Amino acid sequence: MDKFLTDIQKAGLVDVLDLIIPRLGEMPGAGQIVFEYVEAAACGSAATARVVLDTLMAIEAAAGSGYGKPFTEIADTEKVALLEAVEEQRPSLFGEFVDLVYDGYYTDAFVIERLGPDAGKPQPEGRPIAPFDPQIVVSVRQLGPRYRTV
Amino acid sequence: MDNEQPDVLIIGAGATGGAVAWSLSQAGISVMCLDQGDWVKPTRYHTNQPDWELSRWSDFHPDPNERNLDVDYPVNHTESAIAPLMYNAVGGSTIHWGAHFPRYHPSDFKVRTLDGVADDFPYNYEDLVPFFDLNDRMMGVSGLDGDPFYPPKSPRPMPPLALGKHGETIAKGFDALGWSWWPADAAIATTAYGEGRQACNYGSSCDLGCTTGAKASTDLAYWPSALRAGVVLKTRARVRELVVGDDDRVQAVLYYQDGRLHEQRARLVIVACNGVGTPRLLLNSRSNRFPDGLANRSGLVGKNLMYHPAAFVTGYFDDPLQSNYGPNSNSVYSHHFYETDQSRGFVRGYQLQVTRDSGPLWAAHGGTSGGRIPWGVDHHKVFQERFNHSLNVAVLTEDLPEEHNTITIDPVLTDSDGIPAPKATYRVGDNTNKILDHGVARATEVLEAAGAREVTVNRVPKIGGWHLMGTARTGTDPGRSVVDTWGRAHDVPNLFLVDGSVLVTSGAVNVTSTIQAIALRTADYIKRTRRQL
Repeated sequence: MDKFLTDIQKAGLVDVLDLIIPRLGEMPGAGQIVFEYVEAAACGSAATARVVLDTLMAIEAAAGSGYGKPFTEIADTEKVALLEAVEEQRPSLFGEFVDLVYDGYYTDAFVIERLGPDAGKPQPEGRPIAPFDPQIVVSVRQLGPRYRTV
Repeated sequence: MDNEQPDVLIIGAGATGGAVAWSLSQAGISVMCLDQGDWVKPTRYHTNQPDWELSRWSDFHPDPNERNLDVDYPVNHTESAIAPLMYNAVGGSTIHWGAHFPRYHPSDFKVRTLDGVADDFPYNYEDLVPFFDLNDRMMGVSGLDGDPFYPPKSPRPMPPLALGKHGETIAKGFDALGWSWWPADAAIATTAYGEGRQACNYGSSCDLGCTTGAKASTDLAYWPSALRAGVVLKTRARVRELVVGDDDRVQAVLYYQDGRLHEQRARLVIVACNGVGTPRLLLNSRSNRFPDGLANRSGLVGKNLMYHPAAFVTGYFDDPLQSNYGPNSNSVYSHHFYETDQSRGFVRGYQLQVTRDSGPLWAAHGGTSGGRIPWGVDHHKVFQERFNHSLNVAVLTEDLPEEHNTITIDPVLTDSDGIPAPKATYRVGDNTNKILDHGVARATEVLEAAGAREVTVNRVPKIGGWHLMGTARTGTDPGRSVVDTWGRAHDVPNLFLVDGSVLVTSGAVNVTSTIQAIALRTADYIKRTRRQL
């Protein structure tokens, strides 16, 4: 993606990622976590590169027309409003971009570790669960059969 | 036998093709099977890898158009409210299915007689019981005896799956309302079973392939024994058409393998390509004898497509529910509203199927609710409120057959061998919409009774065509059906169909148990009458 993104676009991408999933407590922002994932995904797929580039261009166009300056230079509160406006104008494109960010974030080992053991890969350990307790169906058995005879 | 003419040639090595191949082979019948897919080694399953969830949107996507593997064929579903889902491999869609294993009810075979709609099957529930039981043993079914929704069944081969906090929570909701429910029959081992299959370790995400072999797929449950009995299975062999002679019998099958066109002759041909692939193959097999497609003198090949439109009603709870502990599709279920009650304003009914969730990425994308978790400042808060706090009740409806719902041949689209691809045309029927209204209201009620603080509804999602049915229906009247009571084509004496295409009506349950039982019944008929066929 290097050959597609300018330095300003790269900085803009990190900003956008941190607005999609901000840092909160132990949870990192997506700018720190997902940038490399997005970059690799875009390099591996022309369709993904198109989603990233078109999203960034839509954001910069909105920043230019709305604020007369690059996205990275407008106030944080205005950035959120701007992204919401882009989402409203280009819901399909923006949705694909958000999906891509979520894909990278929620498959990242650092993030998964912070979410706890239930977020980790299910195999080979599986999940601990109490065995079936037959007492739970006692009241249902008392309701009797419920099928239609033919 | 590779270069010889087998007694029986089966097209498709999936849920029913595998079962039929095994059954015939046990009687010493020479069998060859062609499948366009390949073996899927458990090492290809991703659930023990860090980025495991991404496979749900790539090589394990249920929609072949999205998955786009070289063994897949495309389906034009632009004019279908629901996309047909399938997996092409040895094992077929049992590779990525949920293994929820209910049977049709006795009433499902007689809806014309009982409710005045659609048509009856030419056989009944009792006719299938021996084959249900045989299939339960072969697939390895876990469950609890005493299911109130069926006549007494034979003892379940294995004890039921654990319910966990998730299942116990919704059970309290059903109990509070006085509605019947039961632990699901599942084609999932709860003890060591069969040939090297381990007990389920409740890792969830069966749709991405089962690394332990606890989940039954026919590559594990049927094929090893069938191959030992001498069945020849050719993979990556994609059938283009069936060729008939002047006697209306199938003479040969033309198929592509390794980029070349091959011909294979057989005395008898069985098609097991699912409710989309089977009509596609028949409609692509045009000839002077059958200008509208093979076995299609009734004009019904490809018509009456049924899917089971569903609504996913998801409740979010304050307490964590261990929502991703255990198989996705198997928890408890209720057929409390399954049978017709005229006071509801519709005929037939629905299943309430409680399903579990998957990993964090599934949750972030919205899970069964279909609504992505919002981005922005509230993202982490909403994620924490939802991940492992959700409980889904799927409303699976009876889908009555309607001739305008079809599989046809797309005039442009082809697969990678140039074989014309199918097109699905489908809209949800009026009766089904009324069933959905009722079912969504009841699912909401039970979730609230169980303590849900928020309930969302995802009604008839496009990615929902798990059950492909009705497109070559069975019956006694050659003018109103494609195959007879044994699955034999009315128009082609040495052609049998054994997949979901032969279903006359859909019931309101997952169909694999029933179509496998029907297929084993057909195999039994072939074994008994082989000398006359």
